[in-house]
Amino acid sequence: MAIREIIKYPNPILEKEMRIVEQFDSKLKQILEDMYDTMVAYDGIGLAAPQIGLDAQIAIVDIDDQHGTIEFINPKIIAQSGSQIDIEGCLSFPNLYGDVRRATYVKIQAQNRLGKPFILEARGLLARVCLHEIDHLHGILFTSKVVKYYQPEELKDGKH
Amino acid sequence: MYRMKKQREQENVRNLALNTLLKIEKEGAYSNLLVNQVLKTAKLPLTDKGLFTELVYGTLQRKSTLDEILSEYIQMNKTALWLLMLLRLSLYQVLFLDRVPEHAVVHEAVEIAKQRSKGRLGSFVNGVLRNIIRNKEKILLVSGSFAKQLSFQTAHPFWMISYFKDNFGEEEAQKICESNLIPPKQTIRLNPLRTTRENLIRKMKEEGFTITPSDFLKECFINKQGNLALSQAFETGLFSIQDGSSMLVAYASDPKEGMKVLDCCGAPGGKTAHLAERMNGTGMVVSQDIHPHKVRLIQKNAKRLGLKNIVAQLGDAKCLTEQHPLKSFDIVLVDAPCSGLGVIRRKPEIKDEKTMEDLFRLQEIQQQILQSAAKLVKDGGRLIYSTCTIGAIENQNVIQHFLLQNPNFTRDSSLHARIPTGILNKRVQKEGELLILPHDFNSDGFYICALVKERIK
Repeated sequence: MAIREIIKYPNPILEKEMRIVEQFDSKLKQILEDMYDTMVAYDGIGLAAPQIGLDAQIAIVDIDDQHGTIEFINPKIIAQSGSQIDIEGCLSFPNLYGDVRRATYVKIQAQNRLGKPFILEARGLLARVCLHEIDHLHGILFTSKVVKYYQPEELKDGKH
Repeated sequence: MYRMKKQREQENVRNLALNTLLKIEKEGAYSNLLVNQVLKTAKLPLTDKGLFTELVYGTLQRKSTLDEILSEYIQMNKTALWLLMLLRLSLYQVLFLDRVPEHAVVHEAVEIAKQRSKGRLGSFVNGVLRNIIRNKEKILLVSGSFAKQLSFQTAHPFWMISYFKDNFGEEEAQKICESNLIPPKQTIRLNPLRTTRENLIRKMKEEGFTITPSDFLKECFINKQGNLALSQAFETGLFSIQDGSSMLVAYASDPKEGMKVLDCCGAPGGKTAHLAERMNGTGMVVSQDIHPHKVRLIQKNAKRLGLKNIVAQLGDAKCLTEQHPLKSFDIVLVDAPCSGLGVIRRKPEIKDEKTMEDLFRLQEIQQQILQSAAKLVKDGGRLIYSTCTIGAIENQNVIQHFLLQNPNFTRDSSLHARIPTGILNKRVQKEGELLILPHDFNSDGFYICALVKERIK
């Protein structure tokens, strides 16, 4: 197990389009394990490869629900609908929080660690996290979508 | 993406307990570490924090009892792990937690089962639990031999109960097993180089914690509520988190200023730091561990506490003479790796994981380390052996064996004079030895033996 360093904004890798993964080998497996350890260590519920400095379309999501840890390799959004606004924070932007509008429902096609394609439908918080992480793979940061920022003090009073 | 506080609050305490239990089972995570980590990150309300801890420890502690009952209602080996764990968790609450109403337990369990099985298994869980509740009275009435009864009531394996019985008698064995079910209290050790008793109590109060002084040890305080590891005072090195029993090792060692001391199984550095504090920052405490990441842990602790007389280094306690000259330390401490039978309240999984064979396997390592450590003790110096386990195999037998092979060592007749009388009076102690059972002071079960190396005339 290894906890990797989180790449912080303004590192240019965070704003690049990531490369498609072609090799589904033990190296990929190791990356996924490291990403999980890193996500858990930093109290994240999602993590994308560029956040640990890797140019690859890999993201993981785990919101402690029945899905467990979902691993997305080369994910594509094939449908989305609805609209919800809620607060988000990002491991690459410490202490920055803001409301972001996202779809309430999303259908994603991706490959698993063996390269096998799968389709996932997500709603609510799960949809939000998936969308946030997939954005990372295309160099899109949540700050470009924030409709309202929060001051750190506002978050302490129990409202969120 | 970060876990936001708001998103956390949607977490359900039973679901969280279930996930934690599954992680412990699947990854073999140490329960006390994982529970602390979850409590730190999950941001549950205070009332739920207590329930969460109780659910996780309780289910682990009563696992064998719960499984015995469940096996009459379901096919254990054909049940998915999450479902089995959910049933254990729910049954624990039904049988052993008075403050949770049965209907609430069943309702929550059914909801979780539905969520995890796309609706399919809700009625199955409902059926099993209601069936057991109907027979609750009968289940709780068990008869049988001492070991069987105690095993059922306290969920310890048979061999462990017989081992306790052989060592301490039926009455003490029962008390040990019962006290193993009581969740431990957090205790701390004041750093006299950084603060005073009055100052520490006041500082903690300012931070919203209540600590009460221990009846026996002047540097020890007991925490009422919350996790003191998260306090500012901990960050700034005013205290360490340590069980009271472990603190007795420094009493037994009793290092003086300017001495050279070796703690050859030192990580995470709690006892090392205590020794260094007693030496008032003078002399040198060499603290070793065989794993590099654990050596870093010792370094981190020493730094936090501001103890410059600690030297943390990598080293194998089984071959110490390769690293140090013979007879080069005034005191050598062997806080040996052990089965941990004295700390079951902290790590209930020990009950399921350890076997009698482990005790003998560990005994061999303990003997090797002690033998290697003895060579580094100066003439007239002290060799201290300690474990957080109870029972002769890893303690008294190791010492007996050692003394037979090393006639230049004798039991330290002055040990008892160094231990507070309140602690000594609890049970009859042999010369040079100190045995603490978990129910004596609600602290860890512990064994210490002090030996002295002959002075050459």
